[in-house]
Amino acid sequence: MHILLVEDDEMLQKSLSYFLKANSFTVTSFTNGKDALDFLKDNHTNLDVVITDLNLPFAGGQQIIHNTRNLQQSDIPIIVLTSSGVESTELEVFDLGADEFITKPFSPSVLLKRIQKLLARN
Amino acid sequence: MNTPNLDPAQEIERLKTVLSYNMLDTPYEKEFDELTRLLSLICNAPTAIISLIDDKRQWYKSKTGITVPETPLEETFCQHTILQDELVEISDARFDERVNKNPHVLAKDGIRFYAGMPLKAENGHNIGTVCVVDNEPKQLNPWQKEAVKLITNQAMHLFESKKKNQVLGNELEKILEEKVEKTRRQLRQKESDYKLLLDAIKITSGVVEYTPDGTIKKVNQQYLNFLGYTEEELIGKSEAILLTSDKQKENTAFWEDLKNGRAKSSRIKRLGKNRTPIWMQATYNPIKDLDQKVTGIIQIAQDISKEIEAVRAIKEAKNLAETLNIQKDNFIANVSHEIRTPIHAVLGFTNLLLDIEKEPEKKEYLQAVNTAGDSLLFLVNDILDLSKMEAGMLQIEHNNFKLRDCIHNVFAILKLKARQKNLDFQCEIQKNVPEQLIGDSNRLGQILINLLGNAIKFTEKGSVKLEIKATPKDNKTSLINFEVSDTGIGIPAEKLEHIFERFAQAGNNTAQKYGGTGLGLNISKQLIEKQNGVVSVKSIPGSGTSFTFQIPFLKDLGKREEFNKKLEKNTFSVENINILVCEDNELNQKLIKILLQEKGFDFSIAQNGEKALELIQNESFDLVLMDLQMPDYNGLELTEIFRNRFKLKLPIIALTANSTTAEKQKCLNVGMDDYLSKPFRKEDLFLKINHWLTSNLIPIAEKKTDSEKIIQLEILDELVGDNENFRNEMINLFISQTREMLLEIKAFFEKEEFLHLAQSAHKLKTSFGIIGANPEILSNLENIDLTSVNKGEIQENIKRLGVQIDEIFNILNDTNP
Repeated sequence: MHILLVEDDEMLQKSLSYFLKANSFTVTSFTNGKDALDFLKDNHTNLDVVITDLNLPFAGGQQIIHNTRNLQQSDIPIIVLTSSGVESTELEVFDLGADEFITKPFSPSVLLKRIQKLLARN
Repeated sequence: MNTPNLDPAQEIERLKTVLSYNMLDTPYEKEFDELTRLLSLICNAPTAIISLIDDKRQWYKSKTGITVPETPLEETFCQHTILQDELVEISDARFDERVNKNPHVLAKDGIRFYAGMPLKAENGHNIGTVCVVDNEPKQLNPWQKEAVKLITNQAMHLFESKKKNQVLGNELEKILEEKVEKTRRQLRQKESDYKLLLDAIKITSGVVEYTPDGTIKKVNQQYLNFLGYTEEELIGKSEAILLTSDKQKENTAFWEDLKNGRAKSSRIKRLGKNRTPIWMQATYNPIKDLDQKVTGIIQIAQDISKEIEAVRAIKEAKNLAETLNIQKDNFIANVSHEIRTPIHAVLGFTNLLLDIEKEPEKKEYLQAVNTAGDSLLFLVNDILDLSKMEAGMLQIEHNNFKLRDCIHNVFAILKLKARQKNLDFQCEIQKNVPEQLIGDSNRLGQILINLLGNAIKFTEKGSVKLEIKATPKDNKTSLINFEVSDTGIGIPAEKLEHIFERFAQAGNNTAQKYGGTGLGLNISKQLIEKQNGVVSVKSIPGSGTSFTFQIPFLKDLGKREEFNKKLEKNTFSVENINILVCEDNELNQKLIKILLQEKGFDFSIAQNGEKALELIQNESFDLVLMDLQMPDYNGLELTEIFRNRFKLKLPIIALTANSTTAEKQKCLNVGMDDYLSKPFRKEDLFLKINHWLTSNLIPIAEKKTDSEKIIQLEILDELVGDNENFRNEMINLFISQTREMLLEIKAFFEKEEFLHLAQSAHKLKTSFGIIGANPEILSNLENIDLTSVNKGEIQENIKRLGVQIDEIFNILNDTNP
C-alpha cells in the first residue's frame, strides 16, 4: 500500500512517515504542495491513499484534493489534516471530495484506523 | 230680596272646600271655556257660566255672553242653586219668587230664563255652579238637562284634576326642595371635611399656591416656618429665589412640565432665608379649569431635613462601625502575630534544649514549658481562626499527610495532661484506615486536640478514647469516622443542642471550674463543616460523652510516597549548600542559625532587605529563606527584585507568621516557590529545604501537576514506537525547529508583519500537538485580529510563548539526556 503524505511541519512529516512505514506502508512524503502535485501527476496510478495538510507552501491542500479527484483513478481515499478545527473549513474540504478530516493534534493509531477503514471500503 | 239662610258651620266648611281648589281669581283656561261654549250651544242660550262661589261673590272661572268677571252673591241666581243637589230651572224669572226681585230681572231686557247645576266636590260641599241664562223665557228639553248635568260633571272633573295636579306639583316641589336641602347639607359637610383636611394639611405641611409660571400667590405659615421667610418676602416672587444657582436650569424644565399639566412629586432641596438647604418631600399639583387649562399650581411639602440628616448619620455610623471592625480585625491579626513570634522563639528554644538535655527532671520541666507554649499557641490560633471565620477568610488546605503522624502529634501534646489525671488515654485505628490522605492535617489536629482536650478536662477518672474507622466512598475518597468518647461528667440533655454554639458551656460555672473560652467546640464544628464533614454528640450525664465526626478525605494515590521517603531519609548531601536567611527578628535569626548549623548548611543572615541585596550580588546561594516582614523591603518586594532584576532562579521559601491562604498565594504570585508558616517545626523546615534542593528546580507538588501538563509525550511515543534514537532525533528536531520559529515570530513582530506572524504560529501548533504542549498561546497569536492589531497583547503573548518554550525545553532536556 502506497501513501502520499503532504505535511509542511518537518517533525510531523518525519515522525508520521516513520510511523506509517513501521505499520508496513510505503510512504512518499513532501513538505510543499507543488512537489506533491508534480509527483501526483506522474504516479497517481500506484497510489492508494493521499494524506495532506491544508496550509502548505506553494500550493494548498485544497489544490491537492482537487487534482487528486480529477485524475483518471479518482476514488483514491483522501485524508485531510488540519489544526484549524473550524467547521466551515471541514465542509469546504468535504465538498472538494475529501473522505476524512482529522484535527491536529491526533493520535496516530486513530489515523491508522481511518486509513484501514477507507482501504477496506475501496 | 230673598236670601237663603245658611248654616254658618256648614258654610265655613264649604268655603274651606272652595279655597282648597285654589282656583279663585286664576286666569281663564281653555278647557273650561270650551265647556261653557258647549253648554251655550246645547242649551241654545246666549250666556253660559262656570263659577265658584265664596262667601261674598260668584266668581266666573269661565263665561260666555256676559262681560263682568264676577257678581256679588246676593245678586245671583246661583246662591239658590248651591243649596241644592239637583238642577235648578227657572223658566221665567218674573214669576219665580226666589228671584223676581233680583235687579238683573227687574232691569230692562232682564234675565228670564235660568238653569243651574251645583258643582259638588268630593267631600259633598257645593263649591260653585254651572249655569245657562237667557233674556227669553224658555224650558230645557230632557236631553238638554242631561247635557247640563254631564257638562257640570266634566267641569267638576276638571276642577278635581287641577287640584290634584296642584297637590302633585306641591308634593313634587316639596320633594325637590328636600332633595336640594339634602344635597346642600352634603355639600356643606363635604366642604367642611375638605376644610378640615386642608387645615390638617396646612398644620403639618407647607402649602403654597403658585401661578402657572411659578410665581407665589399664597403661602401658609408652615411653609414660611420651614424656610424662615415672612409672607411679604415671598408673595409675588418666583420659586426660583429658593434655589441654588446650579439648579435653576433644571427648575425651568420642571415648571414647564407643571404648566403642561403634569403633577410632580419628589424630594426637593430649597434654600432657607439664611441660605441653609432645607430638604422637603413635595408634591406639585396643577389645578385645571373645565377646559383643562392649568390655572395654578398647589405645592404641598413636608420638611424632611431631619430624616435626611438621620440617614446620613446612620451611614456615617455604619462606616465608622465598618472601619472599627476592620481595625479590630487588623488588631487581632497584628496582636496574634506579635504573640506568635515570641511563642515561636519559646517553643523553638525549648525544643533545642529538649534535644540536648539528658537529665530526666529538667527534661520533664522543659516538656511542661513546651506544652504550655503549645496551649498558648492554640489559644492565639483559636482567636485568629475565629476572626478569620467571621471574615469568611478561613481556607482549608489540601496537602498529602499521614493520618497516623497527625494522631501521634495530637497524642504527644495531650498525653501529659491525661497522665496527670491518671486517665486511660488511648487511640484505636482500624486497619482499613488509609495511611496517606490528602487534606488539612493541621485543621484535623486542631479539631482532635479540642475534642480530646475537652474530654480530658471534663473526665476525673476512667478513660478518654479516640476510635478511627474508614468507610471507602469511591476510588478517590475515603470517609473517615472519628469518635472521641470519655467517662466524664457528661452534658445535660437540655444543653446538648446548644453545645456547639459560641460561648456555650454546659453549666454557668463550667468556665470557672474548668476554664476555657467556650470557643473550641464552635470552631471545631465550623472546621469540620468547612471540610465537608458532620459532627454529632451523645451524652449521658454522670457517665460520659461521645463526639463523633466524619470527614471525607481524598486518598493519596501513592505517587508521592516514595518521594516523601526520600526526603525522610535525608539522603541528600548538604555539603557546599549555601542558604541566604532574610530575617529581622533576632530570636528567629538565632533559632534558624542553630537549626541550620546542626544540619551542616552554610548560610548567611541578612537582617534587612538592603543587606540581602548586597549578599545576593556578592555570593552564590542555593536557596533563600525569606521573612515577609522586614523593616525596609518586605519579602514580596525583595523576591520580585531577585527574580526580575537579578534573574535569579534559586528556590525562595517564605517564612511568615501570617498564615492565611491569601498570603500564601501572594507569595507564590511574586515568584516564591514555597511557604512555611511560623512557628514551624524543624522537621518541616528541613523537609522543605530538602525538597527544594533535591527536586532540582522542578516545582513543588502543586506546581508539579502543572508541569505534567506542560508536555504529554503519548503521541510522540506512539509515533516513534520504541526506537529511542529516532525519538531523540525528533525531540532535537522539535527543539531546533521551535527555536527557529520563535526567532521568526519575534522578527515578524519587529517588522510588524502580523499575517506572517500568525501563519508561523499556526505552523508551530502542529509540532506542539505532537509533544502534547498547550497550544493556547499559539492560538492567541494565530488569531490576531489583523484589522485592529493590539501590539501590547501580541508582545505579551510572545513573551509567554518564550516562557512556555523554555519550560518545554527544560523538560525535554531532562527526558532526553
